[in-house]
Amino acid sequence: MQFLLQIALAGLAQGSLFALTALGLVMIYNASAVVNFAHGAMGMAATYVAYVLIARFEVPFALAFAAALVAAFVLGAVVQALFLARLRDAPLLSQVVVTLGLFMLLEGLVGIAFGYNPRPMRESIAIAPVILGDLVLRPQDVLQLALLLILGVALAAFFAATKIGLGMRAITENTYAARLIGIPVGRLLAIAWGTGVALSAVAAVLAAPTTSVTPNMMDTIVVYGFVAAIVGGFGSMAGALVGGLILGVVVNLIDAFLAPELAMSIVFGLLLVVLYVRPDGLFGRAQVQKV
Amino acid sequence: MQHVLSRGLAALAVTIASVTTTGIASGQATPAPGATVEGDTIVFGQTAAQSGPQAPIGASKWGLEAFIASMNAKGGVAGKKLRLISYDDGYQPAQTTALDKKLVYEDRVFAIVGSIGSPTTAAVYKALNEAQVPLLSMGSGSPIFYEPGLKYVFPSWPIYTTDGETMGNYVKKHFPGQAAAVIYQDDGFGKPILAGIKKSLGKVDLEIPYVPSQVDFSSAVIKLKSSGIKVVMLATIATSGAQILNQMDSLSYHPTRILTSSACGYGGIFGAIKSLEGTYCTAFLPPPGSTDPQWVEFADAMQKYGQGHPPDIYAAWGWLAGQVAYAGLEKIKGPITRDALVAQLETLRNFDTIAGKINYSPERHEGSCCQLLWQAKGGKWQIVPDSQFNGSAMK
Repeated sequence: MQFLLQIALAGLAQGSLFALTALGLVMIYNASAVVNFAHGAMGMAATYVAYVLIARFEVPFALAFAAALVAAFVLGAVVQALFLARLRDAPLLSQVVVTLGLFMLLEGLVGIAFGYNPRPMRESIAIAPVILGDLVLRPQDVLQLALLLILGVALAAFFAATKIGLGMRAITENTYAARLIGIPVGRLLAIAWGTGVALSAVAAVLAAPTTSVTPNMMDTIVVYGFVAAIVGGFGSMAGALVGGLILGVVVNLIDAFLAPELAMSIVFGLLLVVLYVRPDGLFGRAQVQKV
Repeated sequence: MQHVLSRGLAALAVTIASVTTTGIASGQATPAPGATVEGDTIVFGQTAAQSGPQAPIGASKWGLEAFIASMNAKGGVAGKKLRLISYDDGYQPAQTTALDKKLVYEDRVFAIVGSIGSPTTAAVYKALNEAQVPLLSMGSGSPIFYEPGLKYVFPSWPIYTTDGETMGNYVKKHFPGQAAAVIYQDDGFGKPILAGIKKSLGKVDLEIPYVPSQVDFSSAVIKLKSSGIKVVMLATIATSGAQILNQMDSLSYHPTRILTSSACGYGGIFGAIKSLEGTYCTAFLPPPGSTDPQWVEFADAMQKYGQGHPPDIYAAWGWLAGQVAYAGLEKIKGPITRDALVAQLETLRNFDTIAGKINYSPERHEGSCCQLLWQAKGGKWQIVPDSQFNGSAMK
C-alpha cells in the first residue's frame, strides 16, 4: 500500500509540472488562438537564467527563480509582439511553423552557448525529506503541488475579477469587438504570452533539480503538457490543472507496473479514448458559432 | 493506338530499368569511391551528435581533431596530412545513414573514424562494410560489430558484455549473496551490458528498463527502494544516470551504485550529481587527471588543439579512434588503399593505446580487452584495485 501511495505522490508531483506547462499553453491559446510549440523551450531558456545566477553569481534560489520568471515573461511578451502580432492575419499553419522554428532556434542557441552536458540545479527547498515509515515526503514535491494550486487559484481570480483578466476573456470571445470597445489588444496579448511562458518557466525551474539543466530538459514534459491540456479541454484552465495531475499519476503507474517504454503509447491511446467519448476534453465546452 | 502502345512500352522499360538499378544499389554493393589516397591528404569522416540529448558524447569529435592536429604537427603519416570531416547526426540513425552517404560518395572520405553511438552505427555498418569503406573505432561496444566476417569494421572498445561482466564480477566478489538490481537503457547499448551482468552474476533480482526520453525516474527508484536492494548497477547514458542518482538521493535511497563509463565520462559530473561520492564506474580509460603517460599526452594535446574543450572521457574516445587509424596507416608501405589499411590493422598485436592494449587479427577484430572500475573519492575518480576484468576472446 505504501508503495502505491509513494508512486501516487511522485505522480502528483510529476503531474504538477505537466499541469503548470498545460496552464501556460492554455493561457496563450485562449488569448491568441495560437498553439505555442516553443513553450517548453522558452521555459528552458529562462531556467538557464536561474542556473547562471545561482552557479556563477551565487544568487539565492528564490531570487534566481524570480529573475527566471521575469526573463520568461519578457521573452513571451517580446515573441508575441515581434513575431505573432505580425502574423495575426496569416494562416494558422504559418503561426505554427513560427513557433516550431522558435523551438529549434532556442534549443540550438542554448546548446551552442552552454553545451549539452547536464548541469546541476540546486533543490528549491534545502530541507531533508520527511520520512513517515517507508513513505518519503520530498519538500520539492510538496512545493510543486502547492505552487500549482496557488497559481491555479490566482489565475482563476485574475480572469474573474481583474480588468486585465476580463479584457483577455473579451479578446478570446471576439478580438475585433474587443478592439472596437477600446481594449488594448496588443498589450493584453503580450501580457498573456508573458504570463503563459512564465508558467512554463515555473515548471522548468522546478523540474531542473531532477532533470538537470540541459537544452532538452523540457522536451518530454511539454509533450505531456500538451496532452494534459487536450485531455482537460484545450481552453479550460481547470481542465489543464486536473488533466496534468491525472496524467502524472497515470504515467508513474505505467512506469511502475508496466514498462516505461509503453508510457507515451498508452497515454496517447488514452487521449484518443477521452476525445472519442468527450471530443472537447473533460472540462472543455463545445465551440458554438452563430450562423 | 500506336502512340499509346509506344508510351506504354517506354514506361515498362523505365520501370524495369529502375527496379534493376535499385536491386543493384541495395543488393550488390560496389566499392565506394576514394579507395586509394591520391592527393597529399588522408580524409576521415565521422558522425557524432553535436546537438540533442546525446550531444555530450559527441565531444569525441574534439579528441579526434586534437589527435589529427598533433599528428599533423609531427609531419602527418606516410608523408600525408590528416583531415577530419565531422557531421552532427543528432544521434538519429536516419541522419547517420544520410550523412555517411554524403561522407562516402560526395566528400569521398578514406575511412569513417570514431563515429559515435550504437543505434547510429548499427544503421550504417553493414552498408559501409559492403562498400568496402573502413569503419574504425566506433563509439560503441555493441556485440554486432564484433561478429566475424566484417572485414572493414574495427571496433576498439571492449565489447559491452565486458562492461556488464566487470560490474557483475565485482559485485559477486565484494557483495556476495546480496540482492542486486539493474536499471538499463532498453536498446542495443543497455541490453548487452545487462546480458554481461547476468552472465557473471547468474541472476539479477530486479531489472528496470528505461527509454532515453524518460525524464522522471521516481517510480523506478521507489520500486528499488521498496525492494530493499542494496546494490544497483546502471547501464545508462549521462543525463539519465544523473537523473536517477539525484532521484535516489531525494528519496533518501543510498545503495551501492555502479555506473557504466557512458554515464560518468563528462567533466561536470561531480557538480551534476551531488551524491556521487563512493559511486563506482566501469572504465577502459585512465581517469581524468591521471598521470598515465597516454592520458597526459592526450590532455596536453587537448590543451593545445582541443579548441577549448576539456580532456574528458568522451574526447578520449575520439583520441583512441585516431590512435587506431594512425596505427594502421603508419605501417603501410606503398599506395595508401583501404585494403592496405585493413591488412595492416589486422597485424596489430598488443598495440598500446589510451584504452590499453588492442589486438586485431584476420579472424577477429576485437579492440580493447578489458574494463576496470573507478570510484568517486574526494571529488575525483580513482582506480579500484583488483577490479580489472578481461572479457577478450583473444586471451
